[in-house]
Amino acid sequence: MAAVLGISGEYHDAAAALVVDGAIVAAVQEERLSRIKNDARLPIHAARACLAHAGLAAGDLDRVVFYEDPIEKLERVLVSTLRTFPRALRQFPRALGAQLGGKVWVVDRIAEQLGVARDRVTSTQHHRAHAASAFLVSPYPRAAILTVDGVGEATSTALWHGAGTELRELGRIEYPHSLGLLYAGLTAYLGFEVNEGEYKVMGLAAYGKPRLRDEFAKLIELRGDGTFELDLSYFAYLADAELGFGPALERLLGPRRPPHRPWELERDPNDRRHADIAATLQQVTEEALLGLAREARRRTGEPALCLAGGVALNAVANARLQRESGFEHVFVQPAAGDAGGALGAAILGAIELGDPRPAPLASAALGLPIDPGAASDLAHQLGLGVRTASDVAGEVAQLIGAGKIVAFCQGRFEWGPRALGQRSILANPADPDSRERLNRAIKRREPFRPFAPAVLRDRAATYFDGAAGELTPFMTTVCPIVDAHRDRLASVRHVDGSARVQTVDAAGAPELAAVLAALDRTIGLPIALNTSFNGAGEPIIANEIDALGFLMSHPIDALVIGDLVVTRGAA
Amino acid sequence: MSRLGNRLRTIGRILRHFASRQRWFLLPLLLVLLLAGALLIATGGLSYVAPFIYSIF
Repeated sequence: MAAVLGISGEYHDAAAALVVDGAIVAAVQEERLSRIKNDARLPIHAARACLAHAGLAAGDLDRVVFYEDPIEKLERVLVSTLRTFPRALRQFPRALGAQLGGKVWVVDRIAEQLGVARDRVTSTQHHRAHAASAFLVSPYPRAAILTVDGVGEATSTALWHGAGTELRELGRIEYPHSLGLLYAGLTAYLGFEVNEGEYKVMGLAAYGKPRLRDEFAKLIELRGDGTFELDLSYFAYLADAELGFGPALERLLGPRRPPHRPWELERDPNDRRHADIAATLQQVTEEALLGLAREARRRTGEPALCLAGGVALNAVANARLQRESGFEHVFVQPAAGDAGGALGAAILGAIELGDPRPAPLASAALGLPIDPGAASDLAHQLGLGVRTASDVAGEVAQLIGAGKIVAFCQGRFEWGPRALGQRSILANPADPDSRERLNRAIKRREPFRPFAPAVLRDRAATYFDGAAGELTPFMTTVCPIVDAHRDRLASVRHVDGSARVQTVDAAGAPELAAVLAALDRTIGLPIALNTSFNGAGEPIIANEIDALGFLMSHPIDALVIGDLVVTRGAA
Repeated sequence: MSRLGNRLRTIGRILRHFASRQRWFLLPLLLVLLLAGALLIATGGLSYVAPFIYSIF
């Protein structure tokens, strides 16, 4: 029986996760507490918050596990520097800084900053942590596992077989050949921020046609055995830390798109070209993943597939895997990116110390709770309208039905990048005006980025084709909207007729389930438009101070915290 | 003192890793890295982080 803390960080999405006696007690991304989007610094705030939530001190920890091996990473950097000499010479000073300014000492620094004995802090491997974060919280006793991201120590893609608490690596693809870096390079080419704009590329893809397959065949060779190889002459990430793509890519695909220029998909032929590039990239990525998944199925014979790594957050690709890979079940945990590595590292440490595998993940509410009492006190001090609702779900449904936009906070915040009813903004999915106001005044998203629906699980099949699988509770897939409801659900429908559905039940998100049931009575749909409770470029809200600050600075109509209803005017 | 001990222990691990993995040919580069890194840290020249840092992270 042990208390084990997992840590990820030092590149992007720093997080901490705590496993005690084989149970996942808390998992928190640093950005939620530091209020810096994608905060990569060592997650000391998150680690301390996990410990405080469990009532533990750092000295109570039996082990702390960092999610990757800093020395193996140093080796890859040295080998990569030698391979690309003299092109990488310009990067050399920065490489020195990155490695010796912090990375190689990360295990020491964790021990010193947390106040844990150095011999209790260890490290695992990046892709092993990813594989553990997916399989060991899945509902399957045995499964094939694919871990696909930019790069770990030296691996970009790995195939695993999971059985019980064991993970066996069956094959790998090494850096610099990487689906994550292909996607990131094209994300930069399309003018989006790397490690943040990839899901915008996924949304944009539905507006284009995949007509550039011949050009992409030069960028990446997809082989029959599921492996792939990039033509590195088109990419610059080996020798340039600023840019993922090289001049050869612009000669092949045309000029890059300047960042921050407003999109004109209807009028600007260049924007249409860029949408076609996004569509082709998305299609090629899906086919690469399908190739990997079919190989995983062939080699393991298992009926279930678990995915992790940043590429596993591609909900559109996950939907194709579910339909076409031959697996009966596909599972992606909500923090599939690098943050999830903290959870995998903690579970691996706990198993090594003799603890059992955790129970399957039923809810993403693994963060810190929000305090309605403290919110009430603060709201009164700020002169806001405050009242306690006797039927909070009914009141929220009434507000939404009347075209209001409601911020909805319940219990502990979510693990991962998706708001799943703990820190959500809710609106009427059948009201285009609500959607338009939400986007114009609060979210300020690009026009091609859809909003998502949350639907009662046992009613999902009425509105969405193929909904209610293992992926839908965590919003890691998309489903087509049933034809009969396409027009009514236009506010949560993407241009291709799909929606990134979250299925909700009382076990996973009881308060949101109650609101959806009340909405069914109020507007005749057990569905809400559900978007994350944050402004443009901000991390999702964590606590009552963040939430009340948001209410005072954004035109939402009401803020609900527990059974408290807070408004800007009098109650 | 324990901080220095931790660093020395890590340096020992690094050297053992490169010796045991038959990566001895990387040692000169590693030593240059260590020396130049010490200089960079001493001059405080490290703060900027670029998006495509896979190759150096």
